[in-house]
Amino acid sequence: MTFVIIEDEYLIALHMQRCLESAGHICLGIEAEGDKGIRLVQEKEPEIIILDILLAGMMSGIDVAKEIRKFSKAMIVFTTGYTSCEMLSKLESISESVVFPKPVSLNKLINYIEKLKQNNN
Amino acid sequence: MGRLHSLREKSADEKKGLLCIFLAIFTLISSENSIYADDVNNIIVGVYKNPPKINVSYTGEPEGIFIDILQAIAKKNRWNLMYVYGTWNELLDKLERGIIDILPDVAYSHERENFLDFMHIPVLLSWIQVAVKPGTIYNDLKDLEGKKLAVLKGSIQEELCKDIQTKLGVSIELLSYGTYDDLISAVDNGDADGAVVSRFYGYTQNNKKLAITPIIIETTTLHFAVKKNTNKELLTVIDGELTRMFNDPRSEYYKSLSWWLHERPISYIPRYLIILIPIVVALMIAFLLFSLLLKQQVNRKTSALLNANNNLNEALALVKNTESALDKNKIYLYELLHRSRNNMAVISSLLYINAWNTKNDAVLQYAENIDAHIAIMSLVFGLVENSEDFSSIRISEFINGFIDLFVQHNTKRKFYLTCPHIIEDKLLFDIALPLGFVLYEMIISMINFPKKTFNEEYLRIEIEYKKISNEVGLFTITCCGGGNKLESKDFFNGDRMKLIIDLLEKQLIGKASIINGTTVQIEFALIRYSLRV
Repeated sequence: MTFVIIEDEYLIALHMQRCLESAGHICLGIEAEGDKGIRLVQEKEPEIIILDILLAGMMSGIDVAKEIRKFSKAMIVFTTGYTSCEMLSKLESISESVVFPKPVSLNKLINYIEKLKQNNN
Repeated sequence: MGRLHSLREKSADEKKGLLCIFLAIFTLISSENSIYADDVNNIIVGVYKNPPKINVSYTGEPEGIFIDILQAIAKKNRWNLMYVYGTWNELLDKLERGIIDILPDVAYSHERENFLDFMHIPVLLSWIQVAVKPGTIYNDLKDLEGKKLAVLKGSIQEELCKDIQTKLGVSIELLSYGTYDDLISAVDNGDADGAVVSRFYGYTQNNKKLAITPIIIETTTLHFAVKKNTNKELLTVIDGELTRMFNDPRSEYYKSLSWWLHERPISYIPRYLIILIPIVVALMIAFLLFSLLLKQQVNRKTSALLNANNNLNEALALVKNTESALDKNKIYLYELLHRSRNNMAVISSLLYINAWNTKNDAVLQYAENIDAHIAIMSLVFGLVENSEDFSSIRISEFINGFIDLFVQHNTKRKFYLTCPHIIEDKLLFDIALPLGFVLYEMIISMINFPKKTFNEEYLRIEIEYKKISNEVGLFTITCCGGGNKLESKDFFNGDRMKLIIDLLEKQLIGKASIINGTTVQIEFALIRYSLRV
């Protein structure tokens, strides 16, 4: 499946990219800022968007998700260090999304994407 | 009595009322204009001794109730009073002959009206009574039968006593004397059995010489009198002035009565007012006291409310400050937790990336283990964050999270890891974290030991937790359905396992043992740490 990563921590993004690519998925790009991430999604139209909550720039991951939802139905995988009930309930309001708390278990993420791929097929 | 009735018949109520109104109006006019002030300058007044009504003082000055009244009227009307002294009979004679103009203290009688003119309004009411030597007891008119009574010669007493003899048939002998002092002396030395005196006798200084009996012969009215058909205008003015005085409780009339008789006017304050005023005053005082009490209570309550309000405001300010501080702390804690996890993720990623770069499986395996430990930390942090006391976590959530984490980090190995029976309990954060490492390493070692001798492709491992006592917990990890027996000397061998055993013994005050070659038991202290929060 195709994916983009919108994450301000480059090492984390790079780690995810390598793991997911080693599992056979295709990375269409990495961005650290929300508005650039939105443009990347508009341009590349990925199937999966791996989205951090706290990003560089003026927009939060939730703001970015809301903007993306206006033009895309791609699955959004939130990754966040915020695991409070308040934050989780905010993220649940975004349709077609799932939350992976940091540090993300990449094996779990790969399994999830595999299941998603099977469901799509 | 008959004579008084006659007077009353003559002066009927209606006539009296009209007369009083007329006199009052006349007095007002006369007081304004003093019509007699110029005409009647010199007035000759007869004075005799009959205290306290009229008397001659020790200094030779006239005094008494009648004199006070007359002097007050004279002062107002600018009369010049001139006094002629004498006995009652002498003065009565002088009045008849026109030597004196006016005679005070004259009792009204029909006979006297033939040669005297009286004021219409009586100055005083009086009665005639019998006085006797102390110790003598007369209670009834009949007791006077055959007795000798001393009377003032030519007085109304003498006149009335004669009537009693006639009307009531009581035979008494009247002895006439010129003055009251002579009367008293006559009784005192036994010449007479008793004396006929007016009610004012009791006010004289001689009152101790004779005792008053309950026998009252007649009532009389006392007036100013002038010679018949002379000085009538004088009487009219006095009538008018007297009417005014009667209606004024502060007048000279009442002052004189108060002075001579110790009598005070009682009619100017209505009786109901005398009762009502104290009640009203008492009610007002009670109301005032009640108001003061209420005011005091209101003040006290107001003060208490103000204090309470101040305290409440202070408390509210404190609560707001505390809430603000808590909000800041909450944000700070969330940020701290987020940064911790983010940094753990960064470290984990860095390890992986470097491990990949070495292209060495052992290094990669090592990085995966470190990553698993970081994941355990993250798991425990997450559970603590959402715990009730931020210090202890639910063991069921810990085991489920641990199993999920273990499976996700070991996808290349073939095993089942389950916990069929979870006993609900709590684990302190400080125990959960190292315990997670110990469990992870023990299970990894059980799966890998010995790698080459597993009979079945998939190994089933069960975790069980139970509490041995309040101080000691026990995890039992059992290999079910396959595998060779675990041997302590081999299983606990190796640097990595020694590190884990040291961690278990030194940090968790616990120990690990192998039972029946299939089960590893991990004992650990539950209360190594007290609640940190």
